[in-house]
Amino acid sequence: MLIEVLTRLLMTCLTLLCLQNSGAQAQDPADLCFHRPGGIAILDHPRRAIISNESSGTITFVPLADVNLAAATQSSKLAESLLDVAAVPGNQQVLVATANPSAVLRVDVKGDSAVVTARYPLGSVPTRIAVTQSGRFAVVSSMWAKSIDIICLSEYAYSTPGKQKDSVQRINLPFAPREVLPLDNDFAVVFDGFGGEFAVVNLNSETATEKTDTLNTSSPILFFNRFQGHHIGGVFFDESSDEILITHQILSRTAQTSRGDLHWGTLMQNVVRRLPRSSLLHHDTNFDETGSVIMVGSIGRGAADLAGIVVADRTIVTASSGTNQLIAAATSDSASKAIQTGTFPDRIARISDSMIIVTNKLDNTVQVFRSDLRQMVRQFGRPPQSLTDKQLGERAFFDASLSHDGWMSCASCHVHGHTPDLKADTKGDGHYGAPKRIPSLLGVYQTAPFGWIGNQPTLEQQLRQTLTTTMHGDSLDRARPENTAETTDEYLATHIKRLANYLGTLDVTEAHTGRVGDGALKAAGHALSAGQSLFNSAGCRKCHDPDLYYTSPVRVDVGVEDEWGNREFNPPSLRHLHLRRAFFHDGRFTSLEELLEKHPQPAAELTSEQRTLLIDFLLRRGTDHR
Amino acid sequence: MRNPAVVSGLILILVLASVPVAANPVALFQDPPQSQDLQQTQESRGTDQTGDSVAVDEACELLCTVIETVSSHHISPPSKQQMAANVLASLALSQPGKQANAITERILTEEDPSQMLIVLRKEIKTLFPDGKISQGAVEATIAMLGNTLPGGLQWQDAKSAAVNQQLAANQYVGIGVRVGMNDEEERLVFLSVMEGGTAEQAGIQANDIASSINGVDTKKKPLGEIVELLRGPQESVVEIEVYALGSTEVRKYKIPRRVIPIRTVHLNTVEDRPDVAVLSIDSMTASCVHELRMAEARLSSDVKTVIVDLRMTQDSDLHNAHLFADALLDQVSLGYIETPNAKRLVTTEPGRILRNKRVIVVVSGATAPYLIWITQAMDATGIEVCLDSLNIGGLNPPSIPVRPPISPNVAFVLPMLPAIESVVLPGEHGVLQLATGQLLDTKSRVISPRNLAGRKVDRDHVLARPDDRRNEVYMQSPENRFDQDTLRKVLGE
Repeated sequence: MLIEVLTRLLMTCLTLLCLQNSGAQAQDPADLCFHRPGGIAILDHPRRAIISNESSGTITFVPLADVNLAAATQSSKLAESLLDVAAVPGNQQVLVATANPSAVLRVDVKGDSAVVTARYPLGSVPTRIAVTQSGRFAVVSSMWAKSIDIICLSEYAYSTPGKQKDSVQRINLPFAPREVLPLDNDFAVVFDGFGGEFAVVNLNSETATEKTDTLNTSSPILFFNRFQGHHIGGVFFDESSDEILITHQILSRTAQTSRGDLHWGTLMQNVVRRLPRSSLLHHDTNFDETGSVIMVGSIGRGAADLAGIVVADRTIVTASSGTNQLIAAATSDSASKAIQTGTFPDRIARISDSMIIVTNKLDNTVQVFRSDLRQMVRQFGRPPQSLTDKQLGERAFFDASLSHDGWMSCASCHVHGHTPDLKADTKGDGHYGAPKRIPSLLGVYQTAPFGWIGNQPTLEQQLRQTLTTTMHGDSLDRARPENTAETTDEYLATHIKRLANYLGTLDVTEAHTGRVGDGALKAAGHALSAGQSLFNSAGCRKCHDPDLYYTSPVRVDVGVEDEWGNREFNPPSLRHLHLRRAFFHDGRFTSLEELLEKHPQPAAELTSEQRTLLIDFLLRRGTDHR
Repeated sequence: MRNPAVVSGLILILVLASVPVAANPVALFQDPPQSQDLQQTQESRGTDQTGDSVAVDEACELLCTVIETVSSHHISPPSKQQMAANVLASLALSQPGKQANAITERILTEEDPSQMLIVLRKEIKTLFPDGKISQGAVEATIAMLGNTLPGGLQWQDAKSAAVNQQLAANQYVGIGVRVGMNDEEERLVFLSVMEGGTAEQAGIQANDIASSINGVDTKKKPLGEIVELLRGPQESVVEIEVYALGSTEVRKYKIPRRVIPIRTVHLNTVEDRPDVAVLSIDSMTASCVHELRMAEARLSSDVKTVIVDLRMTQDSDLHNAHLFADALLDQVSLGYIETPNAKRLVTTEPGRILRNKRVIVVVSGATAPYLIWITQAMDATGIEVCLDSLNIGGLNPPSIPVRPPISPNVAFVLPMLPAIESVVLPGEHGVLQLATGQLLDTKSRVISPRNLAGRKVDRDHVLARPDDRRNEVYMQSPENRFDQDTLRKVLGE
């Protein structure tokens, strides 16, 4: 009997040992406890990772004490959707950013339970949340609303629920903020979700002026600055080097979307930018001459769409969501190491010097890796057995294997389905040499024909043009499953159809943008009606027909030409104008004021007051039309 | 200008690429056997040897498309009437007994511009009643048109254009051999085999004679025709049978065609000067910026001065020159491209390499004109420019025209620096390279040899003849291109 028990014990230990060495998953009772996992917060006592789930509105607890034997568990539903999570230092609490309703929830975490103890309503869907080291402030970005909310977390609000000491201050920004990085306890840096801008925000007006040479002490925004680049994917503060690490891309407007320029990494670079922390607190720093840039990926092995980043054991590790890899960024090409992850690795957190944890958003898994990237230690969750067409289309949109050597995906230029308003020199107009502004894909499905000169009648034709002449998707042949009967062309056609269907779902709602609803519109009816009347009477609707998503299926000469002498362009849609930073095919106008003042062929002469009314209408009207 | 002549000599085999594979990053670049021997040429269709001809309709279509394209894109096009008359006169020369004046009369008297090309087609068909025109006559006609245009005109058929695109992208596909003709055997000979290329890996050796390629006997076959047999998509296989001269043993190989990028940037140190490094650039291709970045990463921390040697950089199109300028200059205006309707400022983007180094760019009479143009913008940027006055006009210009034609006897550049663009012709008719604008400096002036900015590096002697042994400084490998005297002058010491 004793021998039998000991034998069984020995077999169990051997089994567990085998599972550990193979990196295989222990039996996970909650195999389906991740649902588009996103944010990661690390709590101590006991040490565990709290993962926010976008599509289930739950958080998942991942014990970190013994990763190999741990079982992940899921909380009850906290909201319709959780978009991010941040730990409140010194507490067993997290803050979660939620959609529907748009809010931040303060959640007590005890064991496997999550109890909401406070709710901070927001005016729009949040994107990211970060908490200062002191735990005193939380900063929430709402990308589509172009605003941030600063929440002062009072220690009293928790213990005295009736006493509203917490305050929420909303600040509008000239760009769409996404990543947030608290610096010290008094500042936060808020980064552009599309371009390379950022704002340094004062969280504590009492001490801020002592630490910066700020220009404007009366506003929470101390100053703006920018560096060359777009599509910022992740930020991290490396204490050991006192540097901020930022992952982003750099699109060259000089390079062409030719195979050669793509192949040699000239067109699109995927980089880690290293900036000294102190440099961020000076308004006149030239960030193109400060710090350094590490190129990630190399010839033959692109690393599209860098996202989360972390430093562990002196190694900079970043996730390439386009190529589904974790990569150790190094200054010499031969030193970079990479390991495959699940689909769309997004956020990374450091568990210890030797381990990191990463969320794979599109296949519902969370993985733990050694920080030297030699091995995956453990995978939690499992990929879905089958995918809907929309899910397949979404994957294709973010899939860099559709481009030559994985240098870029659709999302690299059409960031978050929108645009950084940069110019790219594609063959969309038939030749190189006339770079044109990257269009937004929000609501694109309704805006035929496609292309700046309207030469693609359907979205599928436009996609085929893009995949073959811009992305040079020769990887498709290798990506095509071996057991499929489809030819490469059929495989491409399948991808195109899925992509087109997915693009049909891309849009942002009033909840995202926080734009005024119908009630407020009626209240401001007089001014809005005047603007709308002007839009009609000034002739704008001839080209920007409201019934056709503020575009029209024609080509129009508006008095400008491109470098090849093209004078006729398909009018772009006027939806979501508040999210745009450049106008016309070449981005020559950077504000609506400038555009209306200097439009080369205005439909009518407008006074300054009329222009104001028209702009007010355009900036409000754009998101109302579905 | 496209050289239709097939010559025995040094030809780098180029084949059409389809899907390149990722190259081994350790052996990413091949060093060419002798960089000055990389004479890239268009293979001929064999017109002079085999008398290839095309259907009159097809020729008319091509010639009319060329005229339309020149008319709509060239910076200073002649009238369609003039071009049509020239075309007809040129074609008439290929027909014995035909009088050009008589033939062109109808064109020259036609008053309706919309009828011009219709009349041209009719006249061509009348000129060639059997319905065929020799390919050579068509090509010569386009070449003649180019002689009448500022900046010239270069036509490449679709296949050649694709090859040129590969070259410019430094992505050409081949088996890595240099070939010629062995007159004694009357067969193709592999003059050299590139290290690391698939031919070398398979076992082909220098001076091997090819007895058959893909089952076709090479005896007495024109070189162009054999070259065509060696071409194919990437990863396709070519079957070659070879023998060593004097041997009866025939060896058989199946060799895959692969991308073979050529190293174009060479990083060298200077003896007794650890503070100086030299980056010599053979030609400006799409890989140049990447190679410069890699070279920068390898620079020793002792290096304070980097000399960028463009004296041998004869090949550069405008686009690659602009990318090179982008890499070296931070938000600088390079100058203007002036077209008939507009004048566009050309600038570089933020960021640059070699940020904390003293950079000296050296050019010569052989440097590609577009690179001369960008060096003129460097004056105010802190990058020093040196003009090596040595005239090395004896070197043959490349026969793949990626730059405007230049007389080898002109020390620097012609008064007009055309901006050559490639226009894809409709109907699979290939690519036309023509001047769509002209380049001006930052003060909107034409680039003139007389007022080039830069420190002159006068040599003690001028080499006039290509066979002058003192020309060896340029014939040497990149690491030996600076003698001490020249180096001191370049450094301003």
